[in-house]
Amino acid sequence: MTMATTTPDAPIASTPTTVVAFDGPDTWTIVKRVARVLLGGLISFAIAMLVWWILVKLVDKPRQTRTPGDVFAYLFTDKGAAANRQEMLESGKITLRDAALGFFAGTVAAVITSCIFVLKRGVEQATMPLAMALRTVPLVAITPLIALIFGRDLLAVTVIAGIVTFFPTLVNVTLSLRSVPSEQIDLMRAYGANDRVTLLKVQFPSSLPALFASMRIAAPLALIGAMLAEWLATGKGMGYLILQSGATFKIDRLWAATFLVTFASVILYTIISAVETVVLARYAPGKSRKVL
Amino acid sequence: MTAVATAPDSDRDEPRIKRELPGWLPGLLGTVAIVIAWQLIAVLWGGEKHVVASPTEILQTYQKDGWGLYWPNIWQTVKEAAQGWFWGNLLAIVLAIVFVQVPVIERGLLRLAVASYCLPIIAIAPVLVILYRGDTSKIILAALSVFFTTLISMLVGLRAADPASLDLVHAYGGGSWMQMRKVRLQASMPSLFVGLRIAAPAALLGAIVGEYLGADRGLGVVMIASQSAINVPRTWGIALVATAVAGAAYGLTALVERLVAPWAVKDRQ
Repeated sequence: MTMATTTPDAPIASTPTTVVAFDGPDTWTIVKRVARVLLGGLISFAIAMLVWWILVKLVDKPRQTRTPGDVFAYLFTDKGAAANRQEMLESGKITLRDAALGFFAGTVAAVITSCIFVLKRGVEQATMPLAMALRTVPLVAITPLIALIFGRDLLAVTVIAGIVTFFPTLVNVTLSLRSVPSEQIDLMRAYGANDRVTLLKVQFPSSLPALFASMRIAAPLALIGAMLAEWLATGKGMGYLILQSGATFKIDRLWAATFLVTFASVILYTIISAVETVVLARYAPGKSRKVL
Repeated sequence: MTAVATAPDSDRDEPRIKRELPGWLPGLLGTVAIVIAWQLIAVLWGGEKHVVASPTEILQTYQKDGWGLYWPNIWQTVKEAAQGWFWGNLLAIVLAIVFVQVPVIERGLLRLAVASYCLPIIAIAPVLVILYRGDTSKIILAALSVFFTTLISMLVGLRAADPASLDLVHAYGGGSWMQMRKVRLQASMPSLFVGLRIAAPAALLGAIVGEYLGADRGLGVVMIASQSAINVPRTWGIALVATAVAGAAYGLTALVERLVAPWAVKDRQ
């Protein structure tokens, strides 16, 4: 870490790269890494399609199953393809908005809470055990309760997607804010920085990898949460569309919607992975993500 | 690193902070304070749109409903989750071992494993329900929910083996399977158990989501039923039971780890 290159009162937001840039890899390396992540996404897609096709053939229940080709036909070449696409797009937009809203609200709330935890040790000691416990609990499973409390509109969906994101992010970010090497903190103290400046300049940048790892893991969960809430509470969006298609035996629509949601989920995961790669290169040059 | 694989333990020592109180006390006080606040909110807001059941109300509901309502449903859900947990983890562990032994397979299949994580169980659930009757769809959902985290934890663990020990086995003429048996499997335990602990509640989630789609019995079924009947205390009660069962599964895994691989607990700290 090289935060000594900036003076303690320089605004961090405008100079994040100068803080740690010169011991990280150059831009070209980062571009290559990002490209590798994106290429990885493409290969995943191809393999997933292949496995999907094989599984459908293995299960051998042609009345209930559809191959990738069937779904492509449903969305692009069939007679009603345009209408089908339109229907998917409308529901998809709702779900994406719901999930994204909850996801960002949850992430922001988690980061703010972890900062409070780090500044106010007492608050952390009192509430962290409960947060730890809640992190391990499958909160999506209590969606009916959330729907009961927050009613049957957008709020319920946002809340569930937010909660699912909030607790894992809170725990991971707080722990990583705390695990900054004490020499770095001591250095800041020696320069006369207070807790808040230390948090902003040292602890926050070094917890970015943990933040992005949490976000990457939370994104698919937020999508699941949003869809479950749509089904149980609002009756709109992809969650409802999929469930309803299953119940009314509209097999083509069911498979197309399932495919699209999974595709969106993989895309989100891949985008966050790509951003994470850049962030890791800047803020944790020694570490590279071992797992795609 | 993924947060899943390296989820740290709750009680980490902070040498900088002097502790006069025992470590668990603030947590306990905080939890008690939150329960009291909950009671207050429930009582004060309870008026017209009664949606928050107070802790005392929930306890009364438990007493009124009796064991007979909860036990068969808990048992049903746990049975599905346990089977899914078993198959999902078995597949994940075997696959992780294969990946480490035959890296070519890993390159292709690991990406597929990621896709399996992104596969929203709520989207795949209706498909499975149409394809399979009875418990099978729930078991598959539970297995899907645990598969990825265990696979990654096991992979990380197998790779974390001490290179010197691996070299030693190699120097004595042992092949990669010998390395696996003598060094890697043991080295993987700390990381594997982190994954398994997360897997236990995740399996329950898979089973419960499966039950939402239709089943005769199970926590998911009764939770939806009480939600639609706007039976507020019972919905809260069942959500609490589901949470407690998940917590118990998590704790049980930690306990098993202490019995089966006590060195793993120490290694992680």
